[in-house]
Amino acid sequence: MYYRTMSLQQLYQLLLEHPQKGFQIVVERYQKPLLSYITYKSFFAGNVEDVFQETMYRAYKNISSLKNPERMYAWLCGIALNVIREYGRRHHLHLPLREELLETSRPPEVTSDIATKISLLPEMYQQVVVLKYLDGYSYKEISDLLRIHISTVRSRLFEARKILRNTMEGEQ
Amino acid sequence: MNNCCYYQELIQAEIDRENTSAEKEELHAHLRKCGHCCKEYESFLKLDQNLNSFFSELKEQKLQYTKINPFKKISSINYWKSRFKEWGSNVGYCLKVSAALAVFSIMCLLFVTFIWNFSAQLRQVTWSSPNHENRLLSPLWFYSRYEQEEEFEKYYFLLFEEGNGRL
Repeated sequence: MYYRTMSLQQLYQLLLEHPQKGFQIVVERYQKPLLSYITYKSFFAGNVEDVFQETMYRAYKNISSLKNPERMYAWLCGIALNVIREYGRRHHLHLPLREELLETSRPPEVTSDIATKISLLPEMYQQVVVLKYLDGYSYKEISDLLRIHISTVRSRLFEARKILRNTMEGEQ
Repeated sequence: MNNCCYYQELIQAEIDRENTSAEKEELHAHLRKCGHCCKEYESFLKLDQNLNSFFSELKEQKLQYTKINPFKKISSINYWKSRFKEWGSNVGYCLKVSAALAVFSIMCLLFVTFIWNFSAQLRQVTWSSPNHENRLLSPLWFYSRYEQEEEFEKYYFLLFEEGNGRL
């Protein structure tokens, strides 16, 4: 029970002393939001399992390189993003070709226009939108996860929605 | 307008279901009066529905992956195998290892030659001495060997002198 409620600093200490035990707690804590993030980011490529496994492996291997434990979730997301990019490069799925990929690989009803619009948002807005809509987290939970203030979460969501609404209205 | 800015925040919170009942009432009372905020609320509500429909599709996708074992790859990869691969690719490390091995082998060689010479000396002393058991046990056996050699040299020197420079 103690392991579940321990602070990030304590978790970091545990990671340094007992990497395997510490990493199990990291997985318990961040598996759900990380999986959501990868599912969203791999929407166009559909390689969620590979990316998730590779992210976990790299995180486990390089856990000692984590400098700021407060930014653990952001660090994991960064690894996942790098893995997705590498995968894209290896399979020639460059980011500018996303829209083409969207048109060609999926049926039209699934190729939601909104997916491309969200992917054009700044990364910090995307993270908040994914946590809010895909995981259904509250403002408090998002702020705990991203280590930002609740008002920042609220303003980021607001900004993201404003951008999305404006782009949609601009098209109409 | 300032008022509307405040209600914009409440609209966002309302969409995210984060408003308290008092805030809800306050917002709805304002929406009945303000056409601009009402329009904003409707547009954000529509966007929220669009986002929800898109993410519900992703949620279904995500359900497939909820039973992924996060340690699958970690456990499947042979730790030492991957380590050796890393070491193999690291040229600097290989050089360090080979230098260390060379130094170690030289040290071993020196040690073996020393032991060999030492044992040879030991054998010489024990073989040459008539009461070798005593000499081996005595802590002064090495000294006694020198003594013996000196006597031997003296003897030959005498022979040399007696023979007028010829042995």
